[in-house]
Amino acid sequence: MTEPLALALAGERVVLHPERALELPDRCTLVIADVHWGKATALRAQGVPVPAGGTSYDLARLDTVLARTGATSLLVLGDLAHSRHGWEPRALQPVQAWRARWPSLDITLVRGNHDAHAGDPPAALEIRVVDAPLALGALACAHEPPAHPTTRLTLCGHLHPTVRLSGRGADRVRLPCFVHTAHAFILPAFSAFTGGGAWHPAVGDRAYAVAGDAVIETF
Amino acid sequence: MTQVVEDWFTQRGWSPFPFQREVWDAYARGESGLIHAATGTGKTYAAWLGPVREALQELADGAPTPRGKAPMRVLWITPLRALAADTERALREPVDALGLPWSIESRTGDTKAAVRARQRHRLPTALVTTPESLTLLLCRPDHAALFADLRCVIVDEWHELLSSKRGAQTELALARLRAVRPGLRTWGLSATLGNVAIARDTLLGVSNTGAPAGRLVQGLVPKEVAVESLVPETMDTFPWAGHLNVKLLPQVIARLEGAGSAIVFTNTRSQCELWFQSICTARPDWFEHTAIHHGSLDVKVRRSVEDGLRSGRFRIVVSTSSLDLGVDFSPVDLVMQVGSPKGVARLLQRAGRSGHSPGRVSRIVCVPTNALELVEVSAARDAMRAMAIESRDPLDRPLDLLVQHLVTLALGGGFTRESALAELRSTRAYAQLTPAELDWAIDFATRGGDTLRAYPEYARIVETDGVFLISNAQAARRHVLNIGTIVSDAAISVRYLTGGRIGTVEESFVARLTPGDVFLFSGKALEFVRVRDLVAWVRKAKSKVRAIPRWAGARMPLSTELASAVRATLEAARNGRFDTPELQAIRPLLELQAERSVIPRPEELLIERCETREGHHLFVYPFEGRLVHEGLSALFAYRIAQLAPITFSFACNDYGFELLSPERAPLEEALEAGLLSPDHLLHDITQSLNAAELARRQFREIARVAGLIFGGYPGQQKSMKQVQASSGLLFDVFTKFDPDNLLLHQAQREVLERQLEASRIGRVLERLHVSAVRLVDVDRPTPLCFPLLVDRTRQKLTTEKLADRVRRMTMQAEKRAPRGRITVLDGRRT
Repeated sequence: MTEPLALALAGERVVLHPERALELPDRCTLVIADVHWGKATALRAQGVPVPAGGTSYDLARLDTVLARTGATSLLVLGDLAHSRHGWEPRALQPVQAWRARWPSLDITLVRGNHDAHAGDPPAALEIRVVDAPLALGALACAHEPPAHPTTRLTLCGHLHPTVRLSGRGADRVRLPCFVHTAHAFILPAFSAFTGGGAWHPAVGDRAYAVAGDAVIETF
Repeated sequence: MTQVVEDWFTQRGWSPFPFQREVWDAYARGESGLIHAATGTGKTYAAWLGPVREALQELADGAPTPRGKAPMRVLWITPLRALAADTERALREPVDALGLPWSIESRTGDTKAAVRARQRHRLPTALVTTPESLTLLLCRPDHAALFADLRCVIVDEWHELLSSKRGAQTELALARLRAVRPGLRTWGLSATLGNVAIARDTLLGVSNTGAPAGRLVQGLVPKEVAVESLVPETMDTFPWAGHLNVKLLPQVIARLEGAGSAIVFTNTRSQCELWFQSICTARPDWFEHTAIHHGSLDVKVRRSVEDGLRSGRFRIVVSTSSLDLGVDFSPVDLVMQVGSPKGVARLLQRAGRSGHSPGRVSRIVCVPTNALELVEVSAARDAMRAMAIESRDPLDRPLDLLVQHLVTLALGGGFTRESALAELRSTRAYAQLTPAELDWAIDFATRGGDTLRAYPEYARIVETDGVFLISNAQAARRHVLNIGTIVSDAAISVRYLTGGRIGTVEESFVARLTPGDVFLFSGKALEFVRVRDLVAWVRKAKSKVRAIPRWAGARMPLSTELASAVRATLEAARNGRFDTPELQAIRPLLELQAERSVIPRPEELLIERCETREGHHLFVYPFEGRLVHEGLSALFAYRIAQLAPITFSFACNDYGFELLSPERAPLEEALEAGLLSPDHLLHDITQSLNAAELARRQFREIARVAGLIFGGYPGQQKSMKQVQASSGLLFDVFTKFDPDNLLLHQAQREVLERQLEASRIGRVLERLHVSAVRLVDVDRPTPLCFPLLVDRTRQKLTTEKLADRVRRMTMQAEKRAPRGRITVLDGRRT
């Protein structure tokens, strides 16, 4: 039983999915961040023998959440490719197969710091690429959280936030999470092949932890 | 020629021991072997003067005198690079006195670039080196020519290397050298072990010529050792747990007062810093003559302390095991041991630092830091009298090291499948290596294994006409930097703003400091200024010390021998026999244990149960030592959690383990269902180690050794984050996408056999299965459970749904330590 979590952000209806994706149901849009395609390929090129399959696993997860939400648009908040290795033929192969499964999906990428090095995706993938910020109703969309207070709430990624929880019985766990701060709503990294960053929500932030197949508000 | 050497001994006022003559004669006959004896009993010259006598004989027989120094002929392998300089000095003495045209140099990670460059062209006659530096030499394509005149390899402190991957690495290097120089003689020096014959066989390798096994030479029999301990005047205020206290400082000072020279051994670096500081604070007038020595201090600092110890400039040295090995200095008057010695061999080794001359008594004074350590000291003395000395078991086929070694062979001129198999099987570690395992390792180094077959860009070695060679310059460079099997956290160098180097601390400690924090290091109060490019910059502090760095590392477990001695000692106490000063002292505490709970009989298994704010606790006491308890606790947690969804966190020590859960665990039902049954043991223990993520932890070392994780290039200032993956993440990825990878199997095997001692767990369960369970509900902590109750290092096992656990938990607010303040870290790890 998948348990997404619904809430409202700046007047927009929002659903947080445990696949680490955010849905804007009124816009038929799914938002993800920090996809890091080709990270395993980049590691292999450096001589680290990482098995293949990570990208396909991530794409299968994307299939699941696209099918559940019926979204017609996909918005990627930066770091679609980990490095230029992400656009090499071998790394691109599963991505192209995935694109063929969703031919009419409208995809927009807001450039992130990794995209700057990796370069834009090949035209064949039909991905619109824009610079931040991208306005979306009352929301601004960017890769990185705003450096200064803004009037619009910024949807963003970049930080790979995780939350640490503890409880009775000395139980502890660290989970990827969505974080609502004063000026930003930060998504967890979509790629499963990221360790989750050292960035954690602070006192006053709201955190929504991805716990298996549920999203749970932690306070 | 015997006479010249004997004369040299006589001139120094010595006379060769019979065991030394035995080794010299055996060497002259072309034999190899192992010499075992206590530290400081003449093992060095027993091994060294064989080759020296041979060279003198050759000169006397009219061998041509080489122009300049003689070519490379003796390799001396030492486990610690810090020992190299001392060894060099000791070896040079007779060579100079006897007028041999030999050069003696060392080559380790500490050797200067200029010396290395010179050695690249010509090695000295005798080279003192570490297993890692030797392997680096074997990476050279011309290594066969380098070692063309090699006569003998001497491995010092073999007991230190024997049961580690470094030992297996040494075996592999020796196999390579024997392939280059058939007839090479190998001599090992070892402390006394429970299994010296296996130690010898491992060193000498598997002979395929049917030659007789090497010689086993026993050195001087151990001197008489007196073990004494300081005993607190009252147990009322003596702590029940923990290691970082200086309650017995006044008594330690009183003992030091009366001694000429002294070494105070500690078990951890934190303890070492604490005691050095405390002694200097108590006696500022001793400051000039008191020094600190541990492995994280800069090598220059350590050298100056060692020199000072030799010259008599320092009267008192507070040290960790960094002074256990080889470092040569005259015996001191007094050896003190802070904390439990944890093993009989270790106690003997440290005691051996006092009263060296034959016939004199070695004396060691133990300083317990918590109540139960009194029991351990008493037990250690009994075990020592019974000569129950620990064994060390060599490794069986570590595949991560095999992958690394194959790249070494490829780089050092290449190998064929057949030549590699024959050479590898000549080591004891890989004697049982199957062709399938070798093929897998070759495939892994060539293509990264099955799942990477489609990725030709990943290749460390390539095959051309059946010969495997290194693939490219980048792979070669990475391999050379990655050689070795020592895995440590990223070390941050600690330096004064004015430039002086002090030593290294672990990254995790620095991460918890904020500018202005004061911490204790190298016996000095230092103020943290900033960290930049892997250097923590500090200045001398004006304010008071708040923190002592904690260095990570495995906690030292009680040896099997000592664990069983502890059980015997407790049984004596239960019967009212308090016949040592330590047991007299701890008597009130044991009586309290009997009052609040029980002291279990040998045929009983005690389980204490209680509830606190933290949750429901079960304390189980098999008294089998930490390693067995780690396995047993995971097994207990797994078996109980099969009955109902539950989350356990568990802690272990040498006496028992604790299972803590948010809800009450169904213990009675579990006992009924066969909690202690030896049936399905392997299945259950494998399941439990997966569930408790023990194999995931072990994978860190394996990933590093097999070259999955790269430590980075030296001097590279920026981190390698872009191409780094944590071993935990790699473990997950492999488990998901390449579950048959042999390195995963190795992680499991290492945890089962080495960490958890699965075979011992089986024997322990057989014992527990027929024991009567004494389940006691306690309302206050007992002396036995208290150390577990306060232990914060925990493993976890759960059968609950993650979402259910998360709903029960609350978020830990991220608190940044306010400026200038930090909590004192505990020092439970070495």
